[in-house]
Amino acid sequence: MLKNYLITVFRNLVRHKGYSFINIGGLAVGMAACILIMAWVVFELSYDRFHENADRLHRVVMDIERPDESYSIAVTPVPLAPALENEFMSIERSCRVQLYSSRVVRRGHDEFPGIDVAYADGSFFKLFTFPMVQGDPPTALADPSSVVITESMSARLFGGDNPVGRVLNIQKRDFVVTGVLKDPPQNSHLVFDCLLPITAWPGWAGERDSWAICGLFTYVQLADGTSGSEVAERIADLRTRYMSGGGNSRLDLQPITRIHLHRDYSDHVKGHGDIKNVYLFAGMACFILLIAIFNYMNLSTARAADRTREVGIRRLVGAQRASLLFRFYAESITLSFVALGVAIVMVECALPAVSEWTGKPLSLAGHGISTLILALGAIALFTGLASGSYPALVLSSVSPMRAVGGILSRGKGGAFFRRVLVTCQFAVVIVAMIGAIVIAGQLEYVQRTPLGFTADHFLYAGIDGEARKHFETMRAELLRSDDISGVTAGSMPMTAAASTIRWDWEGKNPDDYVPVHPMFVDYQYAEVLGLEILRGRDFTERDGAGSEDVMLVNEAAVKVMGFQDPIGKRVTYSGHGASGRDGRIIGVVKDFHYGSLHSQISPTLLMLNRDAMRYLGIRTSPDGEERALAALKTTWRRLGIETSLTYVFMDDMLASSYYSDERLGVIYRLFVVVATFVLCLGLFGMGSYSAECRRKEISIRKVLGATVSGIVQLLSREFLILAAIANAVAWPIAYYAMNRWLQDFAYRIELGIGTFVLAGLAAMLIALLTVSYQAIRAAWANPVEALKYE
Amino acid sequence: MIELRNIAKYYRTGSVNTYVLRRITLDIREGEFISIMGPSGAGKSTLLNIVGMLDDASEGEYSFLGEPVHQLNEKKRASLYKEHMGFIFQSYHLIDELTVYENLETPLLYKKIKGSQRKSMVCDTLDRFQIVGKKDLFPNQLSGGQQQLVGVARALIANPKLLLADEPTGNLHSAQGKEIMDLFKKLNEEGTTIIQATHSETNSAYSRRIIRLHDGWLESDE
Repeated sequence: MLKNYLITVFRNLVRHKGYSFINIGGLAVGMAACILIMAWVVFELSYDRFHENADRLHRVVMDIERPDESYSIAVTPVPLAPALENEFMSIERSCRVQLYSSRVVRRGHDEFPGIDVAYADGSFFKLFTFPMVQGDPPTALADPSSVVITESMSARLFGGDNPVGRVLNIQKRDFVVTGVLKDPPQNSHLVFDCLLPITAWPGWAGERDSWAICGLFTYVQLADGTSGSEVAERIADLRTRYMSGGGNSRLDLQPITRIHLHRDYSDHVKGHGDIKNVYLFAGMACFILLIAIFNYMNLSTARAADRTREVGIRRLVGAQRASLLFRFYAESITLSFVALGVAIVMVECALPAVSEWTGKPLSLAGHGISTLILALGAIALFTGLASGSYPALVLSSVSPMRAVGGILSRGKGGAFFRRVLVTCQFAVVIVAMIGAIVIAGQLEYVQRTPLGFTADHFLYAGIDGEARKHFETMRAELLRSDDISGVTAGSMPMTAAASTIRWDWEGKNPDDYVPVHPMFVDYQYAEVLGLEILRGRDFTERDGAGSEDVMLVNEAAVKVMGFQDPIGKRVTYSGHGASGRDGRIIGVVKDFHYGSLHSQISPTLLMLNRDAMRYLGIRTSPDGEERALAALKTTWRRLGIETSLTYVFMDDMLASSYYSDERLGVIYRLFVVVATFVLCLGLFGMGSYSAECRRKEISIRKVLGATVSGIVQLLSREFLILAAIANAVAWPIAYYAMNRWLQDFAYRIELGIGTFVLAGLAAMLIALLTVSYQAIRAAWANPVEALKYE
Repeated sequence: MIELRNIAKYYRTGSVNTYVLRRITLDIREGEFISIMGPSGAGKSTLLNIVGMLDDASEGEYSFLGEPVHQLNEKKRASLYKEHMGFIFQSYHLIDELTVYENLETPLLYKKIKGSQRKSMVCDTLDRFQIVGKKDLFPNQLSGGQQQLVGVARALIANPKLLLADEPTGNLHSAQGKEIMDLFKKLNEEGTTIIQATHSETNSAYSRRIIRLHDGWLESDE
């Protein structure tokens, strides 16, 4: 029986090759796009779920309320962790983590730059699931001079040799390798190459007892069966109980699984994702699949009328209704599984490229084959059921004599239903197009917005390690080159968001906690970077000789302090190895962006501190970038520095920080194109079908004197009306959605009516071109042929 | 075999009933060969469809082999139909996507007949109608007469007691028509009850009883 049905289905497909191609091909493309997007979405959502206790792990965070603004930070004081563990039964264990990115590690005389260092308590291995391949987790970090390295770092530093027991010099101290752990999976927000005891952290001595300085991350594991929000409620005022001042700060808990995608708390963890993009793409995936399914349903219902005769005959020779229901469902489900098969082949072909584009190791097998197969099967089954339902339910209920008599006229069955589906498809595509235009506009805006410093013709070179000793000589030599107009240095590149420290100024309410970003810089920093000085002056060589610290502040800091003229005011700060140091403000710089344009500019202190230099900043002449780089290399070699030179041009660095946004933008646009393509396939199929159904009508009209253009209009009008209705539906939805999306950017574009009109017209134009091809063909046909045929 | 009592069929158009059949009372015994005749719109096809259980009567009683058809549910009726009747149409109604062999096989599939038996039944029928050579062809590769031959073969494959034919030769030229009618005659002599609806006096001459309808009324029964 099934064979008999499948034979019919197969021969029908072969007979109507064009429709079959559109039907199955369109569905396959839609499914493939959906699967690809979902693979990315699933990966993004999988962050930090690999920890065995993931549902009990939280990061302690802090909310700071001020009259006119509020901050949320993810860094907390050092003594917090033991206090939490001692005072709260519901907190089973805790772990402090400090991350230093891109440091130099020495093995004997060899230097290895670009290594991410993490400092952590010994409980690290109990909280987190980072399996060790060598060494003993409970004792690996027990010795203050022990270090655990990852497999890839071991391979890089020691090749195939056993690293255990070897000595590494990190941040000017020697450590003995006590273990090797597997590389952290790519879906971990904690990224590191080596792990050191928290007591080895350079800030440890200065901050171990300070409740004022918030400098590291604190993670906690809750006892089984306790809820995060309850515990958060109880620990909220812990910090204020231990210190006076900071009365406006409350502790809270952030589930570890939220860290990657939710930007609730500013931290400087690399490679954050964004839940909005996840929603955006998941929505896109559903939309594309929906468009493809609607196509499939549309064409199936339209063509179903052609099957009425077969249905009638089958009933005449004894088929019962249930058997016919089965026949239609069998057909549509078989075809949707065929489409799924084609889709999986497409996905397999596209995955490597998409993985490279997104920078994520996407695979169909990665997240549990069984769930994936189930999900895909469910998608195919749903598509099959949805598209088979109309013919199954409607056709099998028609009485056999009416069916064989062809009383159901072709193409009329379910016409209203099909119009609704086509309108929905149009609406979805219009919303997606508006989205693409807005997203592209916002990204361009972000890149065009002046950052507050000059990014062109500027390069950074890493001088962390041996090279720092030669800083003065290097600077003097480089300035001699005609292609270099300025040399300065800093603790971090301008584009890296900083951690926060505590600061106080004259007249500040001691209970008021305000975080501030510190940047340690060299002479002429503002001048070389192109920061605009609004008041006072830049750092000069004279400042280095003086006994007191000097600093520049940005406008945001001035606003927080509330001074009319901050020049000469004294500021005390604690953090980054300093405690209660004070300095004098000598100038105010115009606000500049260092993070992404997602966030507001926060208060920043630029401090002269020549001991903290890690990056050399070189301003080159406009056409001398290459020669300046050559000069730097020559100097590097002449000074006999053994560390390899690492450098990056600032504009490349900025481009790469927008790269992930931009990449997502490109992928989004690509999928809008796919969605539009699938819609066009459907419209093409529908257009040709309606032209075919109306062959006789068209012929009669032509015989009666209708012109070709009149007939083209006749056939295209319906689609245009549907497109117009779709616009009316799509605009409000798109307006609402894109407004929400833009809300998240501190600096954003306005939504203009032009965007909507543009997308709407584009959709209508595409529809018209697709449909009119068929219409024109039908209109040109010889009427006699058609009439004879009928 | 068939007893019709006061059968009427009407369609509701607006507020009035349009009658297609009026008070038809008829008895048909096994082994008869009957022609239903009458001009277009007389109700021939409707009567045939009611007898063939493809359509319900609006009024009246119908019993087939002693079963009160008008009281049976859909499923019971379908199985009676499947078991005892074969239907032949003016426009053949073969499934375009299936070969001759597969078309013949389809009713057996619905009767849930086992594979090997099914195969032998199809082969027997192909032999009997001398269409073995055509078994792998599709309907559109056959002439009208050949298609109708397949239609007849399909109707007879499960050895029905009653063969219903609605204008079986309407689309055929006279030579082909004659072949089909000769076949009917032979089948009837072998014991199959046949009821055909026809316009043609030539065709009706093959039958032993002629029922004439006019505007839904039974006009004569001879």
